[in-house]
Amino acid sequence: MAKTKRRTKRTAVGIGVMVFMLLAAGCGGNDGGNKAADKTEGQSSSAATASDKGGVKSTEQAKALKDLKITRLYHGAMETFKGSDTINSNRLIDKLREESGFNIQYEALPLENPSQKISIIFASGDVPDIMTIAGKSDYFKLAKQGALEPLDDLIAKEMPNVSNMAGQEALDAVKFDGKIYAIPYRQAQKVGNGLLARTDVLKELGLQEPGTLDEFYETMKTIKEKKNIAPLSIATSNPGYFFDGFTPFAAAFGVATPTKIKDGKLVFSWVQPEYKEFLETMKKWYDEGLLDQEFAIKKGTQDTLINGTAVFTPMYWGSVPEIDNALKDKKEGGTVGFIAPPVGKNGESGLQDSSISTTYIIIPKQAKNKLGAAQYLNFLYTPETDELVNYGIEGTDYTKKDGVITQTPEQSANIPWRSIYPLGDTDAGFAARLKAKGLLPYYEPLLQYKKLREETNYAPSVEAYDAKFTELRNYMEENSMKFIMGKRSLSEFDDYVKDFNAKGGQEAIDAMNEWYKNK
Amino acid sequence: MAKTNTGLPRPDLAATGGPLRAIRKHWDLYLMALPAIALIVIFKYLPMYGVIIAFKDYNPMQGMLDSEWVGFRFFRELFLFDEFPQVVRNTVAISLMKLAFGFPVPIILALLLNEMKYIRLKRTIQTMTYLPHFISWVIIGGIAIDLLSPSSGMVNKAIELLGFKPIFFLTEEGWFRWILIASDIWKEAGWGAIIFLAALIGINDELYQAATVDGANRWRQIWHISVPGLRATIIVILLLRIGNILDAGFEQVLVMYNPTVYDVSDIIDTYVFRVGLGTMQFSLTAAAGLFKSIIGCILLVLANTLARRMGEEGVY
Amino acid sequence: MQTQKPGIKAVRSDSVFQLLNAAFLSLISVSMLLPFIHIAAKSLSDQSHVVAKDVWLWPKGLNFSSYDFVLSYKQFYVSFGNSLFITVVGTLISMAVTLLAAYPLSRNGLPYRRLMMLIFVITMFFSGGLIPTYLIVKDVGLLNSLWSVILPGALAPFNLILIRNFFSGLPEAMEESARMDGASSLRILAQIYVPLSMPAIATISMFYAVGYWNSFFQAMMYLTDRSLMPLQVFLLQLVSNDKPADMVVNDVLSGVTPESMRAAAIICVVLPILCVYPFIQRYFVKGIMLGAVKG
Repeated sequence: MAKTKRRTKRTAVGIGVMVFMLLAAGCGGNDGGNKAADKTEGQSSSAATASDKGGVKSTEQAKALKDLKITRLYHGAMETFKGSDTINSNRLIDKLREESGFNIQYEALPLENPSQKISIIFASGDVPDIMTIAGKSDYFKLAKQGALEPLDDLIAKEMPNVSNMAGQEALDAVKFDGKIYAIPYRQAQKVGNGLLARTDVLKELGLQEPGTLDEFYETMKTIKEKKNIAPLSIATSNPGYFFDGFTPFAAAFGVATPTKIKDGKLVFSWVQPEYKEFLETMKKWYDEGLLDQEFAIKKGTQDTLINGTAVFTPMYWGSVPEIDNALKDKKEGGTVGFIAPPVGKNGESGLQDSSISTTYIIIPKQAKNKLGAAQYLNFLYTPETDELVNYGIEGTDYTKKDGVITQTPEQSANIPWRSIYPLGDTDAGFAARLKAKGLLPYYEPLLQYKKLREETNYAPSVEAYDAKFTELRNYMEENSMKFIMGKRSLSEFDDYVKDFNAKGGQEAIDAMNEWYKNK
Repeated sequence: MAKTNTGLPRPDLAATGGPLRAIRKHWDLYLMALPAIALIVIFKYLPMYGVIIAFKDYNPMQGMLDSEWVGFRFFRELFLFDEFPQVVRNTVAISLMKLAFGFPVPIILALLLNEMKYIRLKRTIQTMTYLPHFISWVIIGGIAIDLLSPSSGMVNKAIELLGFKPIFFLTEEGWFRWILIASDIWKEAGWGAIIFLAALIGINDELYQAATVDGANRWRQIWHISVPGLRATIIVILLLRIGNILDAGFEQVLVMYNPTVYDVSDIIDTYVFRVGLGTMQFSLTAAAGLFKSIIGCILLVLANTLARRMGEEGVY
Repeated sequence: MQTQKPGIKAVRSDSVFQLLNAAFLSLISVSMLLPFIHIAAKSLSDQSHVVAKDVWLWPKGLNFSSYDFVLSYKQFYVSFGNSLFITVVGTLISMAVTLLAAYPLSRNGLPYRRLMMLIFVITMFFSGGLIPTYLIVKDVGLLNSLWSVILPGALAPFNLILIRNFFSGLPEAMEESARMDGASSLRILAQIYVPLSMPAIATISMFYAVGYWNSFFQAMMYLTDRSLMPLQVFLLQLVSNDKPADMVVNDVLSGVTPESMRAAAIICVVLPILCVYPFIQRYFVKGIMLGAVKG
């Protein structure tokens, strides 16, 4: 009996909750329309210090509000707060508030599928004053829909320091209908992937670091003979990863970027005769067992180098310390190092340029404090603030003597979350963080190699091109892998080219050339 | 069977008169359903107007209602993708294979477990079989890829020991779908069996006892008592699976496939995802979703009608 | 409950069957345990072995640094509490709503019964999509509260259908006699239907509980306050692959591979559910009341 009584009680509670909810729904419906009217009573800013630096006072615009909300993309550093610190309460943000004069609040988009949340934010009208968004297509879509504030005037009047973050070329690339709607989030990292080698194995076999593509091939053959392994390991299973793996080799044929310039016009690299040569060479490597037979299903290659089942692999520099550590822990030992990407018969070679930003800093059209947003960004982009957000508080987190900054690894590890606050990387800041973490030796060797410039990265939105690009890339990727693995005969390369162009490849490149011609 | 309803309306519940009268008569019953209906209405039906964005060029700045009508433009766009017919074919094929081979497995598993007399072992096994359900496809897929690797995977090592050549399970079009089916069964069979086990426990023990007295052997008991006892559950779950025929397992395919097997494994969801339509293309995504919903709903209604014709209770 | 003594032959064939069955089931269940052991082994291994893919079913270079790392976050405990609240309260509400609705829907001949059922079934196929749902959640005032993770999905039509099915399968005799004694519908549900369908109720409770425990999407959309994050969201972000470069490197230098950290996170999420299952199984006992009902 007691049991059933409890149960009845539980159901009663359930009903109670429902009734409450219905009431809440009713009330919510009533004030749903008040959104637009919900303007903040302007707490007029007591100190708009940032604008004083620019020295420009806009006449028609009201004074900047004090409250400023920033919604940024997720950053792993957000999880690193310890003790009573949080993203909106710690010594660094206190200092930022004090110096800028704005009551800033940072908030993060979810890590997974931020676009969804972004559209929800715009749809609900409850927008922040500054937001970072990822992806060229999303950005241009929002700009087209009128969701973003044009920044030309604000940049001219309020943000002289933007030049520290974005050059004219970068700003031109974000123009829509002739207007700038975003500040590209500056990437200080110039290159990501390099060609990593087990240098100890090369030494053991008395092999030189290969320079040309032919030498690379001969080196691989020797390794294969002596060790009976496939010397080159690549992982391209995920959609869009084909060129992450094959870039150093495609570069030797001059086809590592999606487009290239021929006779003063842009063409798709993937349909050129030299692309066929590239595929033929890779197929040869694959058939001779020099290239990992499982490259198509692999999702990572770190283990191959550690275990010595491969000698070369394209690798992101940030993953190298992990390999290094693992090798050190192993009894057999081993060393790894980046080698030069092989040079082709026409002297071509290179690595992927990773400095192109696909993250954008925008001010929503419905934002309440647009002026404040501009002033705060300008404040962030001063060298002084850059030092603050990259090192922390002077005295506590670093010391400065005669203009030379010293930060110990411990000091750096105490404020791992500082990288949440800057909205763009400066070279100095990036180098400082890497140095404090002891990572420069992994990154710097890559800087000496040629980086391949993809012209279309500097183009604004070209609809016919952007709309088709992913589909075309997928088609190229699927067929390239089939060609290499012999699942499709290379004698059908011409058919592939025909299909590619018919799928919209021709139209896309023609549209892009319209822009290139007038550049 | 004693437990099933006669199917005839009970005299005191029979509908006589209009809705008002029915409500007045059975107000207590309707009141009990009210919380559930309220939840559904508020959180599912009120937002339902959102399906119109499949027919609009949605712009968050204008809002759902004021965005421009574009009719069937996005449906046309979707259907005109070169790969679309193939993608639909793949979706249906993979789904049907999963249904044909995957659907009976949890039932068989539940029946076998139900027959088991060692209670301790039975419980342990039950717990173990439902474990993989909690591990995401990213992990399971990764393990499967390792296991099936032609050079280092355990499966191929075994194949080589038997004197055969290693099989490229994940890049051979002929193999790939079977790998999807098998790994899906392996991951979900234990979890799927739980509901059937609960149903089996509900079967009256006396039926088995009576059958034993009549000299019916184990197989006959399973066939004539256990299976009929599961019938209603089996049919409901089967009907719902039929309604979801266009969901062939997005996460699983995405993790396990690679460009060399797109031809046989790209399904609607992975295709839409891969072409990058998922990002802010709300209208197109909505069109794809609506297409799936309508097909699913039609199939369910047909299957349900058929089931009711055959004297089953059905889903609704 | 008396059973007749079966013949010798039947006993032998029965025990052979029992043995074969046990062997077969043990074999497949062991195969299903493998991934879990694999993950556990990884979570307990030294990072070098994990990166080298050395670890298969037994940890190599045993260490607990991955757990130290995951458990060192205070957010872990906050999130754990949130998930617990969502799961317990959510399951109670869901079960209450589902049972209440399942009873009338199982009443043969109740006018508009099929229509009501159809209303539920339709929502399994059609949804207004993300944005309108978000706007409703916002208008109802649930945004940035744990209720936003609970209420919108509190009723799963699938579970409702299953419970209704169990209810329709129950004998009517007892209900009728109770009704003659003047018992109300609510009382009949609580005193006859619920006790009679405990295995089903335990099962569906678990379906709901697991759903709440794993809820991820709603939390991502409706919660911005980080102190409200449930465990799944926290751990997924913590171990995500696409973290900015210098963060990944940061973790590596602190001695934890993303790979083993991910493994530890999975164990942290799955273990609590595993601990609950034995309690659910307790209700998987045959014929507690059924025998008494018949008659």
